[in-house]
Amino acid sequence: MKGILDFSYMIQSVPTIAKGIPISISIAVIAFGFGIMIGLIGALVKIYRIPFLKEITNVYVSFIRGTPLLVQIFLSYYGIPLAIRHINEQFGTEWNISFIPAIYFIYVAFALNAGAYLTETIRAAIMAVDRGQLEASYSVGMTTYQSMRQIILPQALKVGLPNIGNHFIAMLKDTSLAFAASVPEIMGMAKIIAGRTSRFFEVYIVAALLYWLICIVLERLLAVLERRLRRNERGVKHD
Amino acid sequence: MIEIKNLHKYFENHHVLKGLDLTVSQGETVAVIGPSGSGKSTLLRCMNLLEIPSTGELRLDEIHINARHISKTDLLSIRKNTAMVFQNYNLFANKTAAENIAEALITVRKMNKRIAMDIAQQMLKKVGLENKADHYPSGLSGGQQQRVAIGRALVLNPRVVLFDEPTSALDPELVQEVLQVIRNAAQEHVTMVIVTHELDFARDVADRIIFMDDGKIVEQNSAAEFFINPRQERTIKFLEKFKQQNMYYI
Ligand SMILES: Nc1ncnc2c1ncn2[C@@H]1O[C@H](COP(=O)(O)OP(=O)(O)OP(=O)(O)O)[C@@H](O)[C@H]1O
Ligand SMILES: [Mg+2]
Repeated sequence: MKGILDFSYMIQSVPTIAKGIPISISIAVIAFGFGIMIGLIGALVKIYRIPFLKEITNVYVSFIRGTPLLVQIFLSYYGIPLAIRHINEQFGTEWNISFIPAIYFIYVAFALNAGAYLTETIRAAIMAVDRGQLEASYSVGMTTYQSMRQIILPQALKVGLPNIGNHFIAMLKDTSLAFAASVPEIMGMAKIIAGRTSRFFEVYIVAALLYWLICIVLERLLAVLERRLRRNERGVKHD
Repeated sequence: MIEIKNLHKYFENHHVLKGLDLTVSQGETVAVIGPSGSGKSTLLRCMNLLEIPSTGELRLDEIHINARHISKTDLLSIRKNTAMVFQNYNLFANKTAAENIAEALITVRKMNKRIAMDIAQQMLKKVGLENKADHYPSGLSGGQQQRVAIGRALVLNPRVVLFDEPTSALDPELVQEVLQVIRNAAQEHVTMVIVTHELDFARDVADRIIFMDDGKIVEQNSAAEFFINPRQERTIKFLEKFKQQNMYYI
C-alpha cells in the first residue's frame, strides 16, 4: 500500500521530534523573560525621555524591527565569539568561547529581539494608564518606584497582556529559526531525522502539528489569564 | 502651620504664579476662588510639589524648603505631610475602596496590612461607605469615588488637605454628599485649602476666603466679611458675574 504519506512512520517520528519541545519552550520562556526586562527598561527610558539612553533605545528598537530575526541570530552567533575574543585580547581574560553552547547565542538574539518589540508594547500599555493615578500616588508620598509597582504596572499588564501574549506565541513559532545555529529544538530534531530517512514531508507535517498544538494550548492559557485579570474589573472584589 | 513666601511659577515663559504669599494656620479652612486660568490649581499643586515652584519658599511646620534647591528627601517629606483631593478623584483603579485608603499606610508608612485595612474600614465608615469596602472605583458613583478619595487623603492625618474643585466633575445631585464629608472634616479642625466654585459652600465652611486673579492673591478676608464687603474692583466684578450665572447665590 503506497499513499502519499506514511502514517506509521509519522507516528514513529513523533517521540524523537517531541524531544525538541522542551528546548523550543525554554528558548521562548528564557528569552521572553529577559525580553520583558529589556522592554520595561526601554519603555521607562522612552517615557521619562532619559537623555542619551533614549537615543540608544530608539536606534536599538529601529534596528531590531528593521532586520530579519534570522540575520540577528547569525549576528549573535558569529558576533559574540568575536567580541569575546576581542575582550580576551584587550584585557587578558581567558574566557573559552568553544565551551559556550550555541543555545546561549540564541537566547541573546531572541531576548534582544523580544526586548525591542516589547519596549513599544509596554510603553503603550503604561501610557494607557491614566496619568492622574500617578499624581495621586505621588500626592500621598509614594515614590516613582512604589507607584509603578503598586499602581501603574499592574494596570499596564492588564492592558498589555493580549499584545504581550501574542508576542510570546509569535516568538515560540520563531524559535524554529534556532535550527540555523544547530540547536536541536523541534525544527532542529525534525531536520536531523528527515536527513536520515529523506522523508521530509512527513517529518515537517509532524513538526507543524506539534507547533500548532503548543500554540493552541498557549492561546487557551492566555485566555484564562486574561479572564482572571479582568475578573476584578467590574464592581466587587472576589477572593 | 503652612507658609508660602513669594512663590513664582513659570511654565516655560508663561508666568502663572506671580509672587504669592499665604499662611494657613493649623485647623483653619481656607477657600480659594477666582476665574478660570488664574492659577488656583497651580498654587495647590505647588503646595504639595506635584509642580515644582520656580522660586519662593514653602514651610510646613518644621519642614522648610526653598524652590531653588529641593532635595528628594524634602520632596517626599512635603508630599507625605500633605494630601490632595483631585477634581477627577484619581482613585487607583486596580484597588478596592478600602485598598485605596490603605495603600499609602502600607507602602509609605510601612504599616501592617491588617491594621491598615482596619483603619481603612473605619475611614470608610466616616465617609459613609462602610458597605463599599470591596468595590472597585469602576463600581462606584462619582460622589462615592470622591468620598473614597477624601478618605484616602484624611487617613494620613496630613498637616493640610488640598482640594482642587472636588465637586465640579459631579452630577448636581451628588454634590451635597461630598460637601457634607468636607464639612465634617472642617468641624474636626482638619487644616484644609479648598479651591471651589461653590461659593455658598465656601462661605459656609471656610474661615477665610482668598480671591485669586492672574496669578496673584487679589483679596482675602474672613468668610463673613468677604461676600458682604468685597473691597477690590476685580473681586466685586467676579462676584457680580457669579451672581448672574448662579441664581442660587445670595
Ligand atoms: N502643566 C502646564 N503646562 C503649561 N501651562 C500650564 C500647565 N498647568 C497650567 N498651565 C497654565 O497655567 C495657567 C493657570 O492654570 P491653573 O490650572 O492653575 O488655573 P486654575 O485657576 O486652576 O483654572 P480653572 O479654574 O480653570 O481650573 C493657565 O493659563 C494654564 O494654561
Ligand atoms: Mg484648576
